[in-house]
Amino acid sequence: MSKILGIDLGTTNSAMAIVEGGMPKILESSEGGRTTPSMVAFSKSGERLIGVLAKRQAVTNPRNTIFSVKRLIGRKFSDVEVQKDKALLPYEIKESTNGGVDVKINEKWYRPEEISAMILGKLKADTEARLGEKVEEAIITVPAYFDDSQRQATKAAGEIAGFKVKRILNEPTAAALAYGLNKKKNEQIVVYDFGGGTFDVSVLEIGDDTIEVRSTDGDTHLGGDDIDQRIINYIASEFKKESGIDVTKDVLALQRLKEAAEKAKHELSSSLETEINIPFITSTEAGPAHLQMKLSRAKLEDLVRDFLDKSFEITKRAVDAAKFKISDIDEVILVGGQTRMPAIVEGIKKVFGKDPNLSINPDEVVALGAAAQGGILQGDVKDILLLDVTPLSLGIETLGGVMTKIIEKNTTVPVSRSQIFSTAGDNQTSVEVHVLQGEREMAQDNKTLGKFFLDGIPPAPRGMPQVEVAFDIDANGILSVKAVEKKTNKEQSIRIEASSTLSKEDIEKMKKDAELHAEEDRKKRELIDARNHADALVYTAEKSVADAGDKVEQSIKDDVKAKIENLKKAKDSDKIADIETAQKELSQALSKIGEALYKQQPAPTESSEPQAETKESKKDETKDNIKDTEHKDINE
Amino acid sequence: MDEEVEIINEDEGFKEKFKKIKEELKIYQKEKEEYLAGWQRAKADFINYKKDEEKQREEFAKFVAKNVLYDCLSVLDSIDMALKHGGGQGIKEIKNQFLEILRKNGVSEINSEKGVKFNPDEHESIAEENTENENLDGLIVEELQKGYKLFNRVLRPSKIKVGTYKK
Repeated sequence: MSKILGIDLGTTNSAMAIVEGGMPKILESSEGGRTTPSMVAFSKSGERLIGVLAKRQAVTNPRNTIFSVKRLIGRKFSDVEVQKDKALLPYEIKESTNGGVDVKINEKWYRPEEISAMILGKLKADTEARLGEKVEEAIITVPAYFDDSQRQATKAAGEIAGFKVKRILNEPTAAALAYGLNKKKNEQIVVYDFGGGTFDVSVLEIGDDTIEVRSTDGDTHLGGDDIDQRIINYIASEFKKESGIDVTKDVLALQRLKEAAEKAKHELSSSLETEINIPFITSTEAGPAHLQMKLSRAKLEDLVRDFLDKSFEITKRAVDAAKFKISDIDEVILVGGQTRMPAIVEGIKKVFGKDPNLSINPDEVVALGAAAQGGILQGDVKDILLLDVTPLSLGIETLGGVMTKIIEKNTTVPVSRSQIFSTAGDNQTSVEVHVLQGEREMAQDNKTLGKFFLDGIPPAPRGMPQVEVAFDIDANGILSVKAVEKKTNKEQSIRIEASSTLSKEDIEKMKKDAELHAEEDRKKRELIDARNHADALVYTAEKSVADAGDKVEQSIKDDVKAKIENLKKAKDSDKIADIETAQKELSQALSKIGEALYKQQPAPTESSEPQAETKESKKDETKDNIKDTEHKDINE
Repeated sequence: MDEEVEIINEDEGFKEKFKKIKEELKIYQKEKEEYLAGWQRAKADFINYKKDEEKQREEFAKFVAKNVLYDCLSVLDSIDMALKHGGGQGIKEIKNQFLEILRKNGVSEINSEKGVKFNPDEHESIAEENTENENLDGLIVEELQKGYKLFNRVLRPSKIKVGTYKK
């Protein structure tokens, strides 16, 4: 089944998304952008340029570069809106034979839907190149206030581009879908959309299985671009006050100023103050001039306060028009990059008395929602294959009473996972497998699902035997745990049917507990890890001293023995730093044994020493990976 | 008589049962095919996803430094401006040192010298200059700000002044 492309066909920028693995995902354009400028141009040589390429030549080819065609699509030439825009657009438009609008490029007239179709065609081609398959169906979004003629024209644009248009979807509805709000019943939602060039507010009501647009309002000539312009004007005028130079006359200086202003705006969304630095912005007879100034968030908010206040007023008006009270509104969704501005988030909070939804990228939320709608349309057939996830992590208890997770929470089942463990003591012949469920770091804080022993492990030094512990959850949620000793293939297993009988409340409580205790658990875990490492080092050190025998001077051996005692003492304390220091000292002392042993060997090649060291450290690493399964009865 | 009827009835019952089983079998057959197809599709989806993921990870690794490198370009611009204002050998060396680091990370300069044909794939025109020479139409008259590529993608287009033929 081919995928349905979700398209946010915007006034200034467009975006596209598809559902992959059940989740909507933005697709990048062929130039690597997550959005594509809604622009079409014809170069002098007649070459058609779409998207960012059209934008890059817009300044010098204004009459043949078409932007904001969404303001014209499906409208009558005599519309007030069209007449107003006519004065602002640098390209030529005229009344078409049927009373609509025609747009002129390179002496040829086009209908707005043909221009939109070129943009959609590029999105289609980019998608197909990225996915490596044909995409023939699309869902295209339009503003909620679009009338039938504008919707029909948008649909026609999709069809000219070669799409089968499955649905024309309202932009605010798409945003609500992206947040999954369609699953809530009887809620009232406000969608506040501050785009690049337009501002729209919609009030939605979610019924039993419909989303109804109760009212729309907005300002078709208010957007993020106006805010950018204010910042540019402010910086330029401040600079003029200071230096007497008007940078707006110098194209390159103005270009650098624009970039700096945009950067400053973005930075002020996360910090309270930013520095604008443009060295050598221009030069006069007196020499080069540098622009350097600070801009605070408060100043920026001051500069654009009237825009923001206006948007909040319009928002309240829309709620009124929907015949709701402010307190009736259950959710507010923010759309458009400009809504990252903290003053907007704060303002909305003040109007509605609640935090707006802003977890999904506001530039992408509409396209994601359109793709989600596509997923819903396609989903009807696939619903029989509903896969569950494990609500909590599953694992076993290991050395020091630690819970080692084998299957992490939220893993989709059916699933099998395994890990190799080893023994904690020399000649340990049996291990206990203690199966646990939960999110806490320490075994005792989690729920015990079952326990069993695997015995008959051939006697060997600690860390040598390999015991593979495998967890398997089938589609019905039944957990089987199996332990196999790799050398003898001796195995033992347990089947736990109750792993999924926890109630929702229990699961939530366990998750909450884990969050609540995360910090103290982490500290406990670190201490135990440090102790385990120390323990392993003491073991190695004692063995080295024993192995070294007479080959190493007594003084070196005594030193190591003293350091071993130190580490043993430190190990019992609660101070990780002490353990680490003692560990370091022991490692250093221990290396002297190695050195002494080397000196006695018949002159090895020069490179062999570091090589041996690397080998040694590698061995240590693998040892760390093999977690010691604790067995209290036999260990120590 | 009775016996015969009985037999016939049994036979019919058997036929009936047989028919029912056959129908059920058909349903199961169909379900089996559906499940198998679904399973195969899921498996294929997964394999494809893994491949895509791998590709995307490579791509991601390549472009992970994109934002940092982009921000560095403004420093390069300033160095260029300093050189234009007679910055001297020292500044030149700093620029080379800086460029070398960027090159190692996959950044290359876009050619936008005077006389190169304006190409919006790599250049952005922010000004134009009227020319009476028809041959200069659509060619770059001046490079105002250098552009850079990161591997095969444009990191920032060159800002240029383009020639426009006017009779």
